[in-house]
Amino acid sequence: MQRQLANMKQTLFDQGYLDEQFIQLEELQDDANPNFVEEVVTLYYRDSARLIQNIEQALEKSPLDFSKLECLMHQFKGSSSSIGAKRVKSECTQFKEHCRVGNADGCKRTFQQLKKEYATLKKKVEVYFQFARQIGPVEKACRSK
Amino acid sequence: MDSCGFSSPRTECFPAGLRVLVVDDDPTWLKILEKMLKKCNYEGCDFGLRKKIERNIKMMIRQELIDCVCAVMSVDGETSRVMKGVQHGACDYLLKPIRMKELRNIWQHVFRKRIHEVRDFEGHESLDEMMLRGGADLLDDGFFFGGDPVPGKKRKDVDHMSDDRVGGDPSSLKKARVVWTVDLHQKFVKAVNLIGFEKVGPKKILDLMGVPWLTRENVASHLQKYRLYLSRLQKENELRTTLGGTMHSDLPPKDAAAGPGNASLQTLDTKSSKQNISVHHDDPRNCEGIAKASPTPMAETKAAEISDLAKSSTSSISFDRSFVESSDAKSEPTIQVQYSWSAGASPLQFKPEQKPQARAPPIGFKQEQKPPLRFKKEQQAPLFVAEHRFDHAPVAVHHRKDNKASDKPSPTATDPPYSKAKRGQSSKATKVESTAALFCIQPERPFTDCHTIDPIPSSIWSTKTSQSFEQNLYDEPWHINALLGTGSALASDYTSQYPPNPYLGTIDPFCFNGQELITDVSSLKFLIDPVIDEGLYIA
Repeated sequence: MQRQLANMKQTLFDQGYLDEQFIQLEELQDDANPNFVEEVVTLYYRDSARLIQNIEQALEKSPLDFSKLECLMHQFKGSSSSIGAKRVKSECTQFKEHCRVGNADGCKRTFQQLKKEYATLKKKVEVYFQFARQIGPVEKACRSK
Repeated sequence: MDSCGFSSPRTECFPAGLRVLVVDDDPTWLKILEKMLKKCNYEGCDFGLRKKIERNIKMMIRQELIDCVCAVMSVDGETSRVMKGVQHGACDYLLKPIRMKELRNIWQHVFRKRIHEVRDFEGHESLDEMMLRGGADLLDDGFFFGGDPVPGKKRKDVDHMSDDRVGGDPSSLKKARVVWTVDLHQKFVKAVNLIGFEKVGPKKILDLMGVPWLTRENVASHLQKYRLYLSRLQKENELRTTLGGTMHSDLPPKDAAAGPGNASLQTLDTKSSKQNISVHHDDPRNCEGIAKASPTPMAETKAAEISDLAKSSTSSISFDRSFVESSDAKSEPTIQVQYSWSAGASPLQFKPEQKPQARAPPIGFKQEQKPPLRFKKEQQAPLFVAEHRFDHAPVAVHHRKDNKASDKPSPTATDPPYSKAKRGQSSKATKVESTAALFCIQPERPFTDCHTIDPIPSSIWSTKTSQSFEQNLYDEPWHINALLGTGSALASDYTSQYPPNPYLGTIDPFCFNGQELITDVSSLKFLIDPVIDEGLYIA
């Protein structure tokens, strides 16, 4: 079971969904905060949902306010970096680049991509945590890095 | 996402207990950072909204509750962003996602700031202490900061993320001021003299001074002040010579004698007073520096000089000339300054200084009357030259203190001269005081002016060099009058010319009238002799 969890996590890393920051979060987790990582991720998704909404709204305007979009995306990127959402982050970077050159289509396309990655990651992480909870805190302590 | 944090250190061992205020729009980051800070044994607290935070921080800074050290956190690591952050005063730029090791090291900014603050405060001892204890004690309020406690003041380490901009204004932090003690100033002057006044640069001075906790900035600002002071003295001397008034006006009489004298001094117009003041400033500065510096060597040097002077009225020593020129406030004060500051190298120092003076011998005398007399003084001048420095410096300083109502001689003596000059009053007082101190000028003395001072120097001369000087003094009372008459300009010249010697202290040009002077002189004579013996000057 532990190994399964470990494999799960490894897959996430290998597939580039998560990066080192996630490990950092896990390291922060301790007995005082046994569910720290999960809490952080949950918080991220709650907060980033708001951001995504804002960006969507901004994208519906025409003409596009690229600077505002870039600003919003900057926030989103920072937020995503907090949990180590690697793929999401790279989409953010791309989005910002499109904003910089004023590529409206590029922005919209990238944003769709971003949302997909965002959703995918959320699901995977949810599964991961569910599994981890099932295994129990002991397993979590033995997690491989 | 903006975030800023501040921290105030605790009394636990630094950097543990560092309190960090984290400001970020992103709650996710807030949570993470909180946890990370806890792991670092820091104490975190977050506020949330950037605007609110900034307001709070500003308020706290104003209330002197926190010092701020700012670090910027951002997911954007572009160089331009980083530069912007630093330009706004950020101590550090942390890239998101923030690593634990980065957080662990943010205390260095607080520590560094502390060190700077301590340095700015008087007493580098506290800095040493701080070093020893790893800064832990610094975290306590006040006590290490040169006895200038700021209770409740906490060091805050502000982590301010500026995705959009940098918040947290480090410039609002208070920095402890470096107090230039006599000792420190002494070193400074020594270094300056070694390097050569014109070529001096803060870095060189700093290296020469060898004070570990002093920063280049401290030295640079002190050098600037010093230079301004010298140029002001020069200007004042020039003015003085033209004005011919005695300026010392408000020397807060530390002794009664000093007081009256001071009062008379004040009669001069403001300009002169200013001049006087500047001159006086020299004294305190000189005194202070001298006090700390090896007075003995100085005294010896001076003594040697004096004897030299005694030998030849036209001694080659430029001092003489400078004295004559006394009017050249600049030269004189400079010389004085030089003396005081360059503890052993003063003679050398003076020489260059003197050159400028040489040109204006009569200037001082010009002031009002009897210029020819002045020249005669030259011969006497040498007498004055000697000593004035360091020996009395302590006294002078001391006296000055009285005026200033401070007890200790000069911990801030060096610094105040500059400020005093600005104020004008205090510096004057210092000079007068010093003179008074040396002479033990008593209030009861009839002297109201500096003329009392003249006699004193002469008396000193006699002690130092030979009786001849004294003779001179008394034989030519008119000299004195002339000198005195010249008013502040002259007086100041004297002071400048004749660096306060141990006995005399600085001779402040006081306002006086010739007649009085003569009288005084004679009376002084009596007083002086005994005084001299005792090393005291009773005016």
